[in-house]
Amino acid sequence: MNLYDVIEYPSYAIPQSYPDKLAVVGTMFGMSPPPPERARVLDVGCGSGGNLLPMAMLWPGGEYVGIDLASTGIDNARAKALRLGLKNVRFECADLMELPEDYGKFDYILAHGFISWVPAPVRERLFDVCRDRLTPQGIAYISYNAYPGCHVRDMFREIMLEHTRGIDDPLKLAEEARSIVETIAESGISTDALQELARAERDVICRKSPGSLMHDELNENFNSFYFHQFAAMAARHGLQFLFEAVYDEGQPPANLSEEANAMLERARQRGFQIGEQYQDFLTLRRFRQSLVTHAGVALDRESLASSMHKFHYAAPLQRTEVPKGIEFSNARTKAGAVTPNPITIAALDRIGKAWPSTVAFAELAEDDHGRRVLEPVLERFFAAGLLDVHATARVCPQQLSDRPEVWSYARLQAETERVLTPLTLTGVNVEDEHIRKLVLLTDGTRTIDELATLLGDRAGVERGLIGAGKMGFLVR
Amino acid sequence: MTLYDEVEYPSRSFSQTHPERAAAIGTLLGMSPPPPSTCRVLEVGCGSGWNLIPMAAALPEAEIFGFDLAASAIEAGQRDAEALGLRNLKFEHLDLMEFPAGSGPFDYIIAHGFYSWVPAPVRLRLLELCRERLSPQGLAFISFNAKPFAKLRLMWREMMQYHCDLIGAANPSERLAESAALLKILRDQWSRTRRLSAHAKLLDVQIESIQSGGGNWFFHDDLGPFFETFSISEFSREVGGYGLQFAAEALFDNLNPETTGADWIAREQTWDHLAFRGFHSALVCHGSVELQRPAAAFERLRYAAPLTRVSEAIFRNDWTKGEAESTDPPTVDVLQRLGSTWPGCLEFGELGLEIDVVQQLSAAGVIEPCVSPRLIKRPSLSVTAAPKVWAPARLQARRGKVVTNRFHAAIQLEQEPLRKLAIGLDGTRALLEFEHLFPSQRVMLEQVEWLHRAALLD
Repeated sequence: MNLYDVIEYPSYAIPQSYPDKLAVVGTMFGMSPPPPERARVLDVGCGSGGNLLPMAMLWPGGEYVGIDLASTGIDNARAKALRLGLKNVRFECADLMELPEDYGKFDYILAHGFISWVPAPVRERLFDVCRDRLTPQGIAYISYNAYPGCHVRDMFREIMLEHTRGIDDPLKLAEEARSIVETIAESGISTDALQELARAERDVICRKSPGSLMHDELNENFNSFYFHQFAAMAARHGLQFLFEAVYDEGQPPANLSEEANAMLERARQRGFQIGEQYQDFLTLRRFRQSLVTHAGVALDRESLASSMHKFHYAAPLQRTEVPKGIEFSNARTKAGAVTPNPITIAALDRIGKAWPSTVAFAELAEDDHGRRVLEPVLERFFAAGLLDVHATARVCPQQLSDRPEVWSYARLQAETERVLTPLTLTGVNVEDEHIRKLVLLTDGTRTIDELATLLGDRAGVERGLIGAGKMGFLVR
Repeated sequence: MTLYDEVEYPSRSFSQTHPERAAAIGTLLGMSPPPPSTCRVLEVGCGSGWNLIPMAAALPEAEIFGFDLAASAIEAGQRDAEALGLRNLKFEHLDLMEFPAGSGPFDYIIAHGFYSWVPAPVRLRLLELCRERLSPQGLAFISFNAKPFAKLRLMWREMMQYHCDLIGAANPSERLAESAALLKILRDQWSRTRRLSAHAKLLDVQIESIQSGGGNWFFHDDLGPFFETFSISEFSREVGGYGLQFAAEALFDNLNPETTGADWIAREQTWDHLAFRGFHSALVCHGSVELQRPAAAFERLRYAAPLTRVSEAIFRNDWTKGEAESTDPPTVDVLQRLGSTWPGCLEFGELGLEIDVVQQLSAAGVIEPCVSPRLIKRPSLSVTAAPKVWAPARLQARRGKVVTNRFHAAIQLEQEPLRKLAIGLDGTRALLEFEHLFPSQRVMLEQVEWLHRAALLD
């Protein structure tokens, strides 16, 4: 039994760890990553399979292995895989320290929320496993708590631990921890700036479920690393830093002052990774999702836009006419851009209309000229968080069919869970009982009329189904 | 040669380290601390001695000893002590690890800015020294960086160190300049982002103190080889391991009335969290001493306060800015009397106030509890008089704007004529000689009055 058996860690899809996203970043930097739809993927600390199960469903041609120390999570994951009829995924209650040789090599290794929460030998072991088990052009995704920003988290972790010493019941402990942070945030006996700092931290901590809090801030292990330490760890194990998994999180802040920009330039001249470190200083970064590859892989950091024609694009875009052209904004990321260029406008209109499906690059441009114009533009929009870029296509129905069908994974989730995973993989919290019922019944066997009769609210059903379609829940 | 020889750590007085303060707080806790006027004081890491020099001058019958690892600082301290003719003060160039057996005991041991800035064996040696050499009712002042909020400074420090190491800033002045430049860039960038604006404001305070002449302090405090942080619980456990106990904070406004009962350290810890305390000025005594909590023996002390009546019902302390509001005639009367008695003090009995009122006024920084009587005569305010600024301040005034008064407080002499007056008033020269420095005689006499209220006159 470990803590993860007592309180389950909520296990969700981590879209940015999906092979089709990692392949995009790898390709941009000049790699030839293994095709995501036929990849072998290892998820280290997979919990109850929330990340691996949807992946296994999306790409039946791939092979997926999830390991975790907590057997409760593994049991849950196996039961779900069985219900979903998945043959391409296996979950093992296994210790990373003794990973069996016969698991073979992997194209993508994922370790989300892992190295910051394990003792040093296990952390080292993960890098060993990446070196030994990653295929030559394979990519590992490793997320971790980053300094300098995590010094602030450390402060509040210490406070919470100090005030909960001796409490055994995890739920009570989490509640007590939240209450002290709440008290401090509102104590009103300190300077404004410190109080402001505490309020911001309270907002983060008190939004967390007891499970997240117990496994994150209140974990026995809570280690943070400067980027340069992470890069050095990777290098010690024959690996190298590729880039951030979330492309826009690897970019310098948009509002750089002149002096900061000059400092960053000087740092970059000393080395790409040094620039990364200074970027973290300037943003007080507290979390990183870094990708690593074998040290021998040649990376090209100069011609990032030249691969953009290989990808598929998606974004929930809204368009507004403004004096300088058209303003597009992403409803999910809130990123925005204004463009007067008709080629760009046409491409973004196309992407916005297709949502939640992706659009292949070839469909975005009329001719060679358009393609040449678009590549760098798309790279910049990707960097700004305006667009999602995928290595594989995602196809969702553009209209309601006679017998609509919600993705079976979300239907299974709806039986017991609140947060449902659509094909776009960004979890949606469904509190409304009616909607959950609708999700369960919309299995492709019923017409809209039948659904309306069963639920007794025709308008509601139609609205619900259109909404589900926009969020990417429908496969038919 | 130490880093402190290379980069001077300008030493100055800290009123919270004075035996008078420790004795007052010890008394409130039910101790019988040795009278400051005849006590024995030891300062560990005294630098160039300017915490001890005014102390020795103010307590001529006390015996005072300071040592430091930086030879150049000790030499400077010795020169100044000699120039002031202080016979009760001794400085020595010495390593704490080789502190001679047989010296002591000491009634008050001071280690300010030491505990967090030395390697563990030296830190623990300090506690050993306190156990062995502190007199039975003696008190040690030990300051340190407090967890968790000193982590902010740690965060800045780590970034500065990375930056300096990377660009190869090797010598101290380069490291200081590069660090200050980095902090400025970070502050400006953070202030452009809402999420980081609080961080920008916090860094602002640090940058300001560097820019206003605190560079050398900053270099040693934040860029030195060590920067350890301790929570008050950890500190309390560590001193407990040496037969000592954390008695209280050396600041009256931190005498938390709730810190009572068996779990008072836990409460003190909570208080640290609520108040975002990043620094501790701890008083430590022998573990065998029985302390009364909460600190309440206010009837055993005297009280002084530079109070000004700022409105009908509000009195403000000129120094601490602590305010008291009252329309109750006896209270108004006593606040008025305290103000006019200053820099002298009143006995508890002369106040005629309830203990809890005195406690509140002390915690609010309105009045200052003290042990020793303060006998200071008002100077004669005629142009033929020859008042005397006390000797340590005269020497300091020649070097800069900050001088120490007779109660160990650091006083700023902002205006140049005032500073010149402070240098010149040695008791032999009549005020007439200084008239030319001021626009009028009246202005000059006001300045003399100000020197008197600042407790700078002998």
